[in-house]
Amino acid sequence: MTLLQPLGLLALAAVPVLVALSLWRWRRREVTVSSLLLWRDVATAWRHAPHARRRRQLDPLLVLRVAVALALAGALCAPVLVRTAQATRRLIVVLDRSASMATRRPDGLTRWRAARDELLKLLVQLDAADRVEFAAVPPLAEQAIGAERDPRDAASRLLTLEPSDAAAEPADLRRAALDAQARQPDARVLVVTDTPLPDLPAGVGLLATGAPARNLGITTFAARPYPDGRAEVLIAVANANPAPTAAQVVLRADGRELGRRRVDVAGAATARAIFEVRPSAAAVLEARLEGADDLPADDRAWLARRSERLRVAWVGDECYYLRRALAVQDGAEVVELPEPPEVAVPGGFDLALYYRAVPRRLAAGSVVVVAPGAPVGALRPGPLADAAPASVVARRDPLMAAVRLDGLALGRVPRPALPGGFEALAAAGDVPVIGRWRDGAATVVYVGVDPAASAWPLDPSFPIFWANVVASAARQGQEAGGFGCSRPGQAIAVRAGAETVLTDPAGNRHALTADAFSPERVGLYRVRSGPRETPIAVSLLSEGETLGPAAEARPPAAFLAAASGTAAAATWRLGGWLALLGLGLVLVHGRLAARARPA
Amino acid sequence: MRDTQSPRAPAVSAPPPRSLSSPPLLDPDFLRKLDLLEVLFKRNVVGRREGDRPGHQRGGRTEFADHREYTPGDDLRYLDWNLYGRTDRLFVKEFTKQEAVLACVLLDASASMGLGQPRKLDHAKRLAAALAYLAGVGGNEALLGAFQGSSVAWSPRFAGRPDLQGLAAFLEPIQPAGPTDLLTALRALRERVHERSLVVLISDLLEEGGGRRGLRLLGSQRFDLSVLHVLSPQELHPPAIGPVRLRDSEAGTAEDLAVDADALRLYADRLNAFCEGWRAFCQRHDIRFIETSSATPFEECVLGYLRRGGLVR
Repeated sequence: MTLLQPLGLLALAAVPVLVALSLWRWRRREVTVSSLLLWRDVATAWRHAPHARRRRQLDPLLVLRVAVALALAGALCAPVLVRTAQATRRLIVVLDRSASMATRRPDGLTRWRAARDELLKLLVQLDAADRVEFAAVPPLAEQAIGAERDPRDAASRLLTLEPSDAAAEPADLRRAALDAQARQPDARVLVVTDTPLPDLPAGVGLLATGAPARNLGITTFAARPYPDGRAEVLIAVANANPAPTAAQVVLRADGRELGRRRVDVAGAATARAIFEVRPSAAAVLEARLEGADDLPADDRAWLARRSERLRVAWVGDECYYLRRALAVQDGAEVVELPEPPEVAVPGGFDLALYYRAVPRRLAAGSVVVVAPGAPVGALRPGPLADAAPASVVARRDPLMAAVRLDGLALGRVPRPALPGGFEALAAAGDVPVIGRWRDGAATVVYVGVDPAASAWPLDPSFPIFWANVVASAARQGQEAGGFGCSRPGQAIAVRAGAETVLTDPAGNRHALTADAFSPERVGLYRVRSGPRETPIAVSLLSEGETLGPAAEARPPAAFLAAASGTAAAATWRLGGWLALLGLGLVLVHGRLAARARPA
Repeated sequence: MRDTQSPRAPAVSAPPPRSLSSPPLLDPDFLRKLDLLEVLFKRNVVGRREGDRPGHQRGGRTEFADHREYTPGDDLRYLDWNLYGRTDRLFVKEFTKQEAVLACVLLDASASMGLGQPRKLDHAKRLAAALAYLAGVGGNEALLGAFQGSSVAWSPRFAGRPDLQGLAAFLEPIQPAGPTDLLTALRALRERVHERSLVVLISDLLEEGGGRRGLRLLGSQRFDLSVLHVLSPQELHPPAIGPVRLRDSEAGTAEDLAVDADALRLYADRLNAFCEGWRAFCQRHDIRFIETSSATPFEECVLGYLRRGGLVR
C-alpha cells in the first residue's frame, strides 16, 4: 500500500485525544436524577456485583469515534493499494573498453577481467525476463552490442569482449551513460570503468574496478625530418608509479635500432628523450620501452612516413578566399563534391569542409563547417548580428597558433546554441565565432564567420588559421613527407580499391571494402592496393590512459538492489471508500449518542 | 410549623420570564372543554360557605329535603298548609342547606420536580391550574399551595369562576428548589384548612415515607384525598448510559454505578415496587391515586386520566 499524502497520518493524533477525552468524561461524567431513592438499591447491587461486571466496559461510542478518526485519517492519506507483479528490469551497462582497462592489477587480474567477473555476478542474479544492453566506450565496430538480450545471452556476449587499445575520456563515459538514460528512462544504467567518475547523474550506478598500477608508457612520439636526411625524434615517457623509475628507451627504424637511452622518470611524472638520428628513407619509426609493466599497450609506439598528399573534400558554395587559403597549403588536394550540400562525404578524405552547407551525417575524422545555415549535429546557428571586436580565446590551441584577431571586425555573425563539450577558440564579444567539439568519431570545427561577407580574409590571421586547420587534420593522419600516426579507435580513411588488403599488427589479412577502418589495437597496419603497400602507424600516446587515476574498486551490490523493480498490476484508490466509511460511522455514532443521551 | 402566609410569595426569588415556547397554563380551547367537567367531591366534604352544592345540614330556603310533624316552637312559616288541608295534621317542610366546598391543590415544587423532559413541575402546574379552575366553575372554592422543603406558599382562596390571571400570577413564578417534605406540607395544610375539603397532592412522591404519614393524618380527619403521581419519561424508562455518577437533585448525595441493561432491569423492578406500594397505600386509605407522565399530553391527562381516576366527571 502506498500513501499519496503521508501528511494525512497527522490526523491519527486525534485518536489519543479522543481516548483521553473519553477517559476524562468517564471519570467526570455525572448525571443528576430526581432522587436516589430508586437508584440506591441498583447501586448497592452493582457494588456487590462480581468484579468483572464492575470493570470499565469498552464504550461503544469511543470505539466508533476512534474508528471514524482512523477512517478519516486513512482517507486523508489517500492510500493506494497496488498489486504488484515482477516487472522486466532493464539494465544498460556502459563498458569502458579503453586501453587502461587492460592494466594488470596487483591480484593478477586485469581491470577488465575483474570488472567482467563482477558484472557476471550481477547478471546471474537477474531473471530470465530481464533485459541487458551493452554500450561500449570506445564503441565497438559491430552495432549488435547495443541490442537488448536476456542475462544469459548477455553473459555469453560479455565473455567474448576485450578492451581495446583506444583512449577514452571520462566525459565520453558520462555522455554514454546520459544517452542510455535518455534512450531508456525506465532502465538502470551501470558504468563499468576504472576511471573516477564523481559526477554521475542520479540513477546511474558505477562498477569501479581500478587499482594502483605500476606502469610506464610512451605518451609522446614525434619525428621532425630535416632536408638533409636527419630527423629529430622526441619520446616522452610517463611514470604512473608513485616512486621514481628508470626506463630503457629504444628507437628503431624499419626494424633497425637507431638508438637506445636510459630515461629516469620521477614518480607520477613525465620525462623526455630526444634522439637525433638519420632514418634515411625508413618508412616506419618505432619506440619501445624495455621491460614489462602492468599495461603493455603504451610500451610501444610507431610513426609511419606518409607519401601521399592531404585530401580535402569541399562541399557547398564556392568561396574564393577560402579556396585560395587552402590552395597555398603545401600538399593539400581540394576535391569539390557536387551539390546538394547534404551529401555525405565519402571515405578517403583527410578533411571534410562544408561551406554554407550542412552535413547530413558527420564523416569520421576532421570536419570543418563554415557559416552553416542550419543545425550541425547539436549546434544550432542563430540569427546574424553585428559582431563585437574579435579575440582569440584559446591561444595555446594548435588551431589558433599564431592567429591574432585582436580588434578585428568580423562583420555579421550568428549567436549559436552550442552543443555539449563545445570548446570556444575565438569569440566576438561573448559570441563564439570559432570552436570545436566532438560528435561521435568526428572532430568538428565550427567557423561562424563567412569569409565572403567579412573583412577577415584581408587579415594575415586568415591564411594562418587555415594552415593550422590543414596541419591539425594532417596530424590525425600522417603528414605528407613526414612521420605521423593514428590513434586506436579513430577512423582512418584509405583509398580502397578492388583488391585492397589490410594487414593488422598480428599479421592477419582483411579485405578492405570500405574507404575507412577503425583500428582496435596499437601497432603497424599495412594497406596493400595492387603492388603498392602503405604503412599506417597506430599508437596509443595518451597520458590519460597511462597516468590516469584509477577508481577504487566498488562492488555493485547496492546498485542491484536499487535495480530490482516491480510493476503495478492493479491499483485501487481507497481514499473515497474510507471517507464514505467514516461518514457512515459518523451517522451510526449520532444515532447511538442520541439513544444514550442522559436524562 | 413554618407556614408562609403571603399568597403572592411562592418559594422563588427571581421568576424567569415566560419563554415564548412555553405553553400557557390553560388555553381558551381547553377551558371550554373544562367547562363541561366538574370536580367530584366525596360526601364527607363539608363546606363552610353557602354555595351551589347540596350539603348535609338542614336549613336554607330553596332545596326541599323532607316533612316532619310540627312541634311547638317551629317556625310557622314552614307549615305546609296544603298537607294540613288534606290530612288535617300539621307538618313543617325541611330544606337542605347548599354549600361551597374547598378544593386544596398541594403542589410539590421541590428540586426533583424541575427535572425531566418535559419538566415535571410544568406539567404539575397546569394540572393544578385545571383543578382549581374546575373547582371554581362548580361554585366551589380552590386553594393552591406550593411546597419546597418545609415552606409552603399559599394562594388566596379562589371562589366562583376563577381568575385565570390570579392563578397564573401564583403558579408561573414557582421554580423548583429544595427538598421534598410531604409530611410538613400536609401538616401545614391541616393547620390552614379547618373544614373537610378535597385535597389533591401533585408530586413525584420521591421522598422517604413522611408523605404517607401525612396522608393518613388527613384521611383520619375525613378529608377527601387524591394523589397525582407525576414522573418524567426519563424516570420511567431511563437510557443505558454506562458508567456514571448519579447525583441526587435534592440531597446532593451521589452514587457510582454503571447504568447497563442489568441495572435498568433492577431499576424497573424498584420503580414498579415503589408505585405499587403507593397504589396499595392509597387503596387501603380510600385515596384516589392517579399516575401520569410529564410527557403525557395535558388534555389527555385531564380528560382521560383524571376522569378515569374519579377526580373529575
